[in-house]
Amino acid sequence: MARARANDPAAFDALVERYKQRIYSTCYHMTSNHEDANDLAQETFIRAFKYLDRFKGDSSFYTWIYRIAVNTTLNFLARRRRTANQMSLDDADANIQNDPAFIAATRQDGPTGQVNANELMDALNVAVQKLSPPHRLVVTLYDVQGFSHAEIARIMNCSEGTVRSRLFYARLQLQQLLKPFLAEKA
Amino acid sequence: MSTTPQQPDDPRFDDLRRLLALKRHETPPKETMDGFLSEFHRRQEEDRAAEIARQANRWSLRLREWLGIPPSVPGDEAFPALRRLLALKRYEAPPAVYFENFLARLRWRMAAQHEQPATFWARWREALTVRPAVVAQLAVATTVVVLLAGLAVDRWTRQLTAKSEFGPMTVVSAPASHEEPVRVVYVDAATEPRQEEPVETPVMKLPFPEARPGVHFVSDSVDFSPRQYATLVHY
Repeated sequence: MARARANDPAAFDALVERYKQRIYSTCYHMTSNHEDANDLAQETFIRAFKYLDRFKGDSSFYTWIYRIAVNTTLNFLARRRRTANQMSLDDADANIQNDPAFIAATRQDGPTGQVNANELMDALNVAVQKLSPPHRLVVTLYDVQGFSHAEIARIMNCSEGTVRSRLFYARLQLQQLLKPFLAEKA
Repeated sequence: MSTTPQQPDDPRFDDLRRLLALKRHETPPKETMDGFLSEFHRRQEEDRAAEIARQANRWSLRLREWLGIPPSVPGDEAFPALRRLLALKRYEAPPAVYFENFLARLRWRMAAQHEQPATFWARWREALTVRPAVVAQLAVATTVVVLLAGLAVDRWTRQLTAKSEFGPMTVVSAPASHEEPVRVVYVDAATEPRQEEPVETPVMKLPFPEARPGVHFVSDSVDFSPRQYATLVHY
């Protein structure tokens, strides 16, 4: 970090390599569009490099760059003002076939009958895209990427209670939208 | 043309009725109704989800969040199946080669932006995007400046108007003639300017109105200003 702030290109490259996948994932889950996610991830790192001198060190670099990614994505969604229903990643990772949740959701005797991975992911993405951006963000960071409430609160610059509240209402909405795929109810 | 309802068996409309009866044979394709019930259920769920979204965005909840008093809500234990389903999104990934070229694309993009710097407005907008708090502060400051400027202009305009209505009053020092009107000015004591040196006030102050024996005051016209009330009287 110190070398990156001293304009060491190799040091910043190392930071990019370390965080590129997670930043891209956040942008993708917010937009459900590969091209948009690519643009947003690139813009995040460009801004991080440009404003590296403003990083005071009062939070971790991880939190700081995530905050840039989140603000960039939210501003992009506000300007776009439409929901992207297409899932542009054609295939989910092959390991999904072994996931118990996937098996439970797609078994032949399940509520929806047998569906393939693409259909399930499409349904998931359509449902998530129906959430408002702040609610979509908390679900993405918590349930998809595994951040804690405290980390999400730092990234979103709000209280943990607000994070929990938004998460609750987002889940209520998703539960309605994904009812055919859920075996249990709240 | 008559406006009264026609009788059902009005023979004038027999042909029309026969034509309209043909519409009973209109039916949608058989498969249209097959998914009707599931579509209905889907729309019901979407409607309920939209209602939850409205509840989530109501102003009272937002106010509580802003005040740091969010409602107590169930935690992870209330949504086990949904959480397992959402976790499946972790398997979504772009092609492996995408991340191999990520750094090279980033370097190229940074070089391109360096050669073609953004316009002033684009840089200004980007700076505000990175610092949303600055946007809020600028908005508040602009609003305060505009309000203060408006108040200052309004006060200046009022002062200008008040000064221009009445010039210094000349006093009729000679005894008043019963044929000539006398301009009597009543000065508001609260706004009368302070005198640093004794000055013979040019204004004849009279209580208004006061009857005097043998003198009748008849008002010809009245002029009102914010501070001075001038009336023409004959006596």
